[in-house]
Amino acid sequence: MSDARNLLLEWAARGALSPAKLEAAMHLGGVVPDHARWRRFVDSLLLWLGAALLGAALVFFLAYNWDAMGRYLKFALAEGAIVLALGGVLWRGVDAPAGKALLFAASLFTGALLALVGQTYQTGADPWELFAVWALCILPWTLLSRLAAQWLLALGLLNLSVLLYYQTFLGFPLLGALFGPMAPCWVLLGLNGMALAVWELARLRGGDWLKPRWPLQLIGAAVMATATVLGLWAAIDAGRESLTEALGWAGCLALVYAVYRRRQRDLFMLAMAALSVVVVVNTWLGRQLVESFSDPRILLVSASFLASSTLAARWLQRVAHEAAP
Amino acid sequence: MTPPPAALWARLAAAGLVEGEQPVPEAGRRWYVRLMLGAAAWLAAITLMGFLVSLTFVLLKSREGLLGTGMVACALAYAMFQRGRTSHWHAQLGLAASFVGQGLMAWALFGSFDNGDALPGTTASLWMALIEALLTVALPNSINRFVSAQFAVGLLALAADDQGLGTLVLGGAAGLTAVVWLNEFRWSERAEALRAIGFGVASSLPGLALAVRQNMPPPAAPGDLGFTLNGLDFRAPWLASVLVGAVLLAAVLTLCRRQGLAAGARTMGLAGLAAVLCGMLDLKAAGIASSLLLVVLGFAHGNRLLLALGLLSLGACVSWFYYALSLTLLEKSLWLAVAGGALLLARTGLRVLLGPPPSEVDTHA
Repeated sequence: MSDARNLLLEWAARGALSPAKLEAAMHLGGVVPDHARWRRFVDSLLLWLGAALLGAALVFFLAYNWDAMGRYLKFALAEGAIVLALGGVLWRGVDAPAGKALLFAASLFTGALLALVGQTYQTGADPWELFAVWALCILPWTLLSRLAAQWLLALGLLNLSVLLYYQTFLGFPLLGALFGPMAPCWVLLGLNGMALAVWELARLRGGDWLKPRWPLQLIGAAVMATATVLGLWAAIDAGRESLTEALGWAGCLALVYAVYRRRQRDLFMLAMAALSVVVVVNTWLGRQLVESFSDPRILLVSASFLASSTLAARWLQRVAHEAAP
Repeated sequence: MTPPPAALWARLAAAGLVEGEQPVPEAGRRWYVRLMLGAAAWLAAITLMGFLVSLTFVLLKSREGLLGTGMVACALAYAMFQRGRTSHWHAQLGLAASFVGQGLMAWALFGSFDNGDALPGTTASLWMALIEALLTVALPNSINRFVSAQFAVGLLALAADDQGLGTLVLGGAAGLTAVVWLNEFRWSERAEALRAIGFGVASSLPGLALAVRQNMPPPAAPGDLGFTLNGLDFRAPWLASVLVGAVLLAAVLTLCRRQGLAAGARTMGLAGLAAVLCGMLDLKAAGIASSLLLVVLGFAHGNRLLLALGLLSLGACVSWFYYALSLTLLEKSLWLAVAGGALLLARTGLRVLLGPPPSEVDTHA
């Protein structure tokens, strides 16, 4: 739907498709829905919106009565929701869209149950443990689901767990000694990098559910964001102690280039890498040249931002040309 | 399922809509490349503005100086954008100049100066909204138009809300969104500009719907309608829902006519009724009608971004509803249960009246 739309709009903007014929082209390309697609859309919208409002009504009702409820009723509700969702999965089957949605819902309800356990029993557990245990509990369902969103949920929980761990303990003993205050970044880079690598490999051998690029691009954006933080640390610190971070950032960029330029061309990943280069290099430049905002050399930094992003856009344009059929 | 580019081109060529070779794709039009360019321009603008602010103390002391410098920057941006039609470098420079210019003019209007001179908030917001609207139209760059359109709508709503006219701005923004997106394939001469403006206005719509409702005072008495006709105070809680609901209804009926449905057709009547019900949903949960408007407009033209924006804002509206103080949690839960049940009932009713929707297999057979 959207790819055909973007293509047709691009062709019209470049004069390859006459503006007067754009609307007809949109109908022919299947962008403008016909009567049947509208019926299916309205049917789905009413179903999901109605179900979502009923679900929200339940949450609001529970919130209203929460203080008045006994401990056992609260647990019965939380566990009952999981059992019902799993019952639905058994009924519809794990391969059906409804089954996958119910398995996802059961995964979310598991988090609510664990939070309830923590709140009720005050075990002294740290917040990071909640998310780590949550990810572990839903691992079997994640393996069964063959749903990208489910895998992203599990990965997201692990990321959150790492961040909260470091917030609590200020660094895992071994890694902290080796890598200093950037230890959380290194761990996240390793975690998300590994997830990206495994997903790409699985995609080469796996089923249809692994084909879409958007989950990989989401993980790739997280990898580049973390690498950029390392690069910024090196750029701002600019000393010998931050050499490891600089090498880590550069290494990550080199890998992204090797994979997404040479093996599996992905313009989105390359654009994220290009943005990382623009931000880190110009931050380093600013750190070297500029002492305050009143320093005229800041104009050089501005010009460098503009020039580097322009060069990056031109390079991406060249790559896109090479990728054209 | 979207056909591959070559197949799509072949289909268009067979229908006589295109001729010759398929064009090579352009990376610069992809949203993530524009995001990268926009982010770099923002960073360049921040450094530029920091330099101007820290160095030019004469300008800081004078509203006129700041305004003049801002206008010069925007004029420079216009010149760069004209060159930027074929050059990324000039487009980037133009963006940075434009952001600096807008920032300086905003500082001029909203700041107070050594002589204690500060404009009233409403006046400053109105002037800045007018400047942003002019820049939206005048500066030929999609990223700039998107940002300026958002600021124009937001500042106009801020100024209007001070005078109790926020609901009218919300209705106007919803109407503009519908007009732009329903006609995006017809106004082909200015299509790209209108699309950028359309995204800017559409993306501010959900926030506007919540903000306008948030700032409304509760009715003074149970029977108080909340607005007067003699005065210009339109702070009626239901007026926002009626205006946006009316836009949604008009959009739905327009789309029905485009599907070839006759005015009295049962399907059209049901669609209109659904739009009215959505407007009624908005009475309690602010932003529902605006969000559904974006969902419908997004689906109608295969605009995944607009559709996703509408769906996300639906979730945000339900979350906001949790914190709204106008009702207790029990009343909210009952209201949501009734609304959810009504929607499921409507789905069942549609299936009874019109039959089940044709599956994808049936339509491709």
